[in-house]
Amino acid sequence: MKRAWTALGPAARLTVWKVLAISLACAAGQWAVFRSLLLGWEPEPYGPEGELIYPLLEGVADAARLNWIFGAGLLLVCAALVLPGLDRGAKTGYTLRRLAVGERALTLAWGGQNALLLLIFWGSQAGAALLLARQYMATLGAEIAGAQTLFLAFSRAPYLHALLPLWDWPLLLRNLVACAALGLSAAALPFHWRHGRKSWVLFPLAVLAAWCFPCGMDAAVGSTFALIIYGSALALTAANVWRGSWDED
Amino acid sequence: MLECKAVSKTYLTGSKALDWVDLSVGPGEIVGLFGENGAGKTTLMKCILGLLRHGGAVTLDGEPVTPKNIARLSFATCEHSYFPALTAGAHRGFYRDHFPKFREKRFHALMDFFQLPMNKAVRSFSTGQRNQFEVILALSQGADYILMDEPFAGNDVFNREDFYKVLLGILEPTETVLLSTHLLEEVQHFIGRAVLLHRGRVAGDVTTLELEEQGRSLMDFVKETYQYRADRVIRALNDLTDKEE
Repeated sequence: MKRAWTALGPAARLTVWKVLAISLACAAGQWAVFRSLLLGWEPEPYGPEGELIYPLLEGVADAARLNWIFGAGLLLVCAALVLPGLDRGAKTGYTLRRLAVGERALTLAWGGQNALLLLIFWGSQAGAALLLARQYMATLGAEIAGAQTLFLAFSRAPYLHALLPLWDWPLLLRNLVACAALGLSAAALPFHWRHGRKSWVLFPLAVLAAWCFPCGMDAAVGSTFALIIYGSALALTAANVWRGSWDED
Repeated sequence: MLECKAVSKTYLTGSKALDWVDLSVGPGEIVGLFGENGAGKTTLMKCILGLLRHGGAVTLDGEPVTPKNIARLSFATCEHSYFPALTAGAHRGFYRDHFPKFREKRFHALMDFFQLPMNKAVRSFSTGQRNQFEVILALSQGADYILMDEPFAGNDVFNREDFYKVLLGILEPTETVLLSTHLLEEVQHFIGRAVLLHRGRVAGDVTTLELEEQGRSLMDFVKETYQYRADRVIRALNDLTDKEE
């Protein structure tokens, strides 16, 4: 087992910093867009007494298209996870196939590592969303925005809810299984390519994950359906890796 | 003992790359593997390493090659098998973790000899340096059988000459080298045995001692085995000249 983990060293060296950099860049981009929107949003007078209406947190989050930045970041993370395994400039696979740990076991472990990095990206995006919410509250003042505002926003806004599903177990499970499926697919793609086979499953999965990530509280059917897709992809990918250790010649 | 028994390989395209190859290589031998392009040299090495599906059997001291004993084989290839984005130092750590007999002292000695940087990504090396590094890894892995497939493609003649000398100087008596190359005349003084492949079959197998006793050079042996017609070029030129006249 120790050998499987140490065999992940080269991939870790090449991916961890990239994933952290992408996470940081996404958070910075979201902060910049969110802040500029928040500061430029004029409160509107409402009613006979001219009471000022402030924008809702979920409204600002939607207008800032935070989920678009998340989606782009997710696609970049997937690309960063795939690239180190591809034989670019050398037949690295010849070395990987001479390890005592076995290339198939290594690929599965590599998938686990990728899943962890995707979890880090997800966690960083959730952290970024909480920081943006804090900024929102600091800008509007505690008398207008409180903990309840946060709670409501993270329940009502599909993107924020998908980031922090709280008690929404199907959605939480969907996100976890999506990370596992994307991580393993990102490890399986270079594995199959090294053996002369084409494997494209990562591309539709990554696009699906990026595009359909926002998910409201009322979308239990959708998240269950997505869970089935990711779960099936995970099982099939693992089975294909275990079956295909030979080169296509 | 590394043994290939009736090793055959036919690609999906239908081309037969290896046809019933029988070959035994014992500990301490330095064997040159020669043959024309497409003779099956690279395919044979890949079959030995288990990189290709094949017929027949490859055994190491009677055992099939599996992840349990694969570390007894190392491979230096002109395609390169290192991690381009990693530094030489990172490779050292990786090899140390995965090959229990990694020869750290030899690694450092060879890195110093070729003056290769430890802290630069290997992809920033020149072609010659990359070849040198590939061979350094294969020699330092601690393998009993070191397979080299055209390892010096792109290196200049002085560099290659240096390397042959170093190779002979550092190898231990039990270390075996199987060297595939087209540079017959360069390696003839460094190998102890020559195996010739022709169209996927072993066409010749001779020790350099036998050649010396017969008063023949390695090139003579190869030409005879391949039934090389020295007058082929002159005839072709004459034919061309006649037609033009």
